[in-house]
Amino acid sequence: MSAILKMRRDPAWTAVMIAGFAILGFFLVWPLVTTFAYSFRGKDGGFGLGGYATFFANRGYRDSVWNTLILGGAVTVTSMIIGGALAVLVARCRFPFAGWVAVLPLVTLVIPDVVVAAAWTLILGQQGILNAWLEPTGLQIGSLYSWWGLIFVMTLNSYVYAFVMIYVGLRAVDRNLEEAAMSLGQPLARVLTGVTLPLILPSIFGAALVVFTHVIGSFGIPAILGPRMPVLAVKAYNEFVSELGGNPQMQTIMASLLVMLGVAMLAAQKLAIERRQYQMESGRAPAPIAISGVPAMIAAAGVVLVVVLSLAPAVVAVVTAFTPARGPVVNYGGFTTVHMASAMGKSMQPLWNSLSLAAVATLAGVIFSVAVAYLVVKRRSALTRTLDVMVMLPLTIAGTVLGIALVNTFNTGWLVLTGTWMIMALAYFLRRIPNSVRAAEGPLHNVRDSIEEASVSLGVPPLRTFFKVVLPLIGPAVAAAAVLMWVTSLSELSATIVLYYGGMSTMPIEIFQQVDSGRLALASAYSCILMLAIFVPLAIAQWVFRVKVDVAQ
Amino acid sequence: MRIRFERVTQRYDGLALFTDLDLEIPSGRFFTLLGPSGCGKTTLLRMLAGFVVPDAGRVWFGDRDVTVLPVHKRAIGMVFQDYALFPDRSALANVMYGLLARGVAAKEAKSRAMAMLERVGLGAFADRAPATLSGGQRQRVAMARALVIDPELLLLDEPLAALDVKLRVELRAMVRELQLESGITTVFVTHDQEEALAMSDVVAVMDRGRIVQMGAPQEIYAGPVNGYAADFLGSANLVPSGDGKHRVVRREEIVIGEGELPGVIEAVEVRGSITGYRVRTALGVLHVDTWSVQHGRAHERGEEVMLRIPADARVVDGK
Repeated sequence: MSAILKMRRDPAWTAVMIAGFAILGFFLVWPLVTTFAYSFRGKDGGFGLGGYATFFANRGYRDSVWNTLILGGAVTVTSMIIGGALAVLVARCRFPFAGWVAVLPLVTLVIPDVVVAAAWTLILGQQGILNAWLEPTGLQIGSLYSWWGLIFVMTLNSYVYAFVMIYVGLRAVDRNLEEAAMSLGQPLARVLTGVTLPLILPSIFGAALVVFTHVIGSFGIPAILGPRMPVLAVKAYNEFVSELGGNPQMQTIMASLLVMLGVAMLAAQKLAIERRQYQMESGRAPAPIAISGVPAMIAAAGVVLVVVLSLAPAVVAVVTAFTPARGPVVNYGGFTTVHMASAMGKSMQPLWNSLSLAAVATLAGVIFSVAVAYLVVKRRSALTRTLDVMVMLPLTIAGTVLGIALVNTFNTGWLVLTGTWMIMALAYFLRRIPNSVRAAEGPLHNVRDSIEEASVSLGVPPLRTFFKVVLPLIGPAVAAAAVLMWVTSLSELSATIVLYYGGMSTMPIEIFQQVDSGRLALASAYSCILMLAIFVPLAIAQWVFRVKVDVAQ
Repeated sequence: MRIRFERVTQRYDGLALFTDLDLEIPSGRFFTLLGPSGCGKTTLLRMLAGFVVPDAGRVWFGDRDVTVLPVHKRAIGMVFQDYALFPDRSALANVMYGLLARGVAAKEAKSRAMAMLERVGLGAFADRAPATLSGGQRQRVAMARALVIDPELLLLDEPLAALDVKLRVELRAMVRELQLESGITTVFVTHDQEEALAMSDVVAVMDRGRIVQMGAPQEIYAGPVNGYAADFLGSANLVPSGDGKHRVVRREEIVIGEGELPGVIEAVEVRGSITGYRVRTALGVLHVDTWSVQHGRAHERGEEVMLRIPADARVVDGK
């Protein structure tokens, strides 16, 4: 009653809220619901579990579920170990090279998944750099197209999320808490496990969730390195593009299972964190302790190794792009500009497509995210909380799944988007809004309500107050979110692969196809162009406009 | 402009905050809502601003029913406890903000804002960002910003609470002066009784959503209607006078060193111009305030003294 009354007095923002629900409901919830509904359709057209029975009776499908769980679990564990260890070392210890970790978030942004997969194929593949070096010794490393190869590369592509989240959690711990515990006579080790660890548990659970959902939803790396152990996202894609027109219900079942997995993880994390959420006074973080001797050397070596391994794909891509090659065989030591010239000639259209699609999605995404963030933070109600939950939904949805759901929903009816650029921009928009909304919410919490009230009391209506007073204050954070949204959309592959059509290919698609057909040097040339396209705007934003771009968002 | 609350009812989290509250605020006066936190004073102020709409009842500005009128359509000036200055605008731009919103030409807005800043003693600080101003200076800018638009009603939401004591005393004199000059009907919310008494034409003492007593400062200080009002204004002694009633005895009304009530001094507190004593007597513990200097001899802790309580003290119900 009073909520409705409040809304009637706030017509502008009420309209914004209705628009938010309409957009998410129509473009996100509706496609997901139809996908779910189709997966539960029985033979007679009514509700039935027949589809799922068929699915689990088939060994291939069953294996794809297992493969997904194994890959998700294994990479989460390895990423948490590497990212967590790195975070603890850098947050709490001082040693040579510790500062190098600062480049990691940027590296992750600039090198797309598909480039990582291509580069590691070049390094560790059958005819890769490492095997070429080992040739005189008669040794050969195991196949990259195996579990260890897949887990290794996926870990390198995922640990940064764990690192950043745990690092932020550790830096948020007030040093006074640890000092209080120590002053009460506890030894440091007991303080760390008894006081500090419980405080950063929410960060740890959060990091595990992000890594797991990232892994089960990723497409590029498992598609390139894991043809022998297909995961759900890859298998759903294969069925989708199958010339034989694979069973469409099986696709929806795989899509539904992936969504259920993501939602289950989100629920588990919420449950685990619920009772552990502390209101911490943000104080000063504990000062890092200087370490020296052998421990410092080990720590420094660890940091350097991780940074080098993370940067390696970019270096390999640049080198290979200028190396003579015939199919998958690259003759290192030589120099040629053939690939680069060829890529330059052919990549302009896909590059333009990538840039313009990302720009459209970013523009829409920024407007939408700022509006929703404002509603969630400044117009708190049951409705806006619902909106907040809906906005976070894409976090749990693999790009492939989103793509399939969108294609199937908007291929008939009064609004046909399938086979247009709009459906691609829509997918980028949906995939990035959870992060953009979070990024806009942070600074909004710092804008006190009284500032807006002061403006309204001086005669400026609420909506104009938002533009005149609030927007300038949150501008820098919104700009950073926009840059992040734009560059991450440039490297989007998993939804694009389902949605693109002739003439609307993007850079990641081109790279994926070159890798798929074994033209690794050409793929490297394309990769260089894409990385440059991502790096330049990031660099300009960060160093010219002083916009702080942060992958932790 | 005369302000009137008519049978206003407001519920908060299912609990009634006000039930059928009637209140009239006389035109052109400095009116203070005084009470502890949670008594509803801020909610009443926010109803006048339009940020809160009552669940039932009406709010009148003169003959206009403004109950559901949006905030930006009311001609009010409001000053907030946390200053609420726009952090990305200079002091001058803050003061100009409301004028520009009203369509005043930039040049005129600038000269009017400048004049107002000079009036509050900040002419030299016009170009400064709020972050570079002290708390007192920020509150002056906020005051100038609220007054420059010539509001029909000035609303002050504990504007001095965040300042230190000395500044508070200085600023309250300035606020009162500005109000007297402009003659704007002003509603001031505070929990500080000294502030309320020092600044107001009329004080309304509030307790849990009710107006307990309303009147001129001198009137309610001298004649509290009940123990609550007496205690909230000047921490009076309540001396039992039989059948659940009490006599209100102000601390400074008790004479120490002569009289007929014996007592023992439990504590001595020198507060500058005033020295306070806590005395245990047969009537209970009494607080006595005396002039520190005028008083001939200081008493000590543990000393036995005689007290005189004025016989004509007012009798009130309960505590």
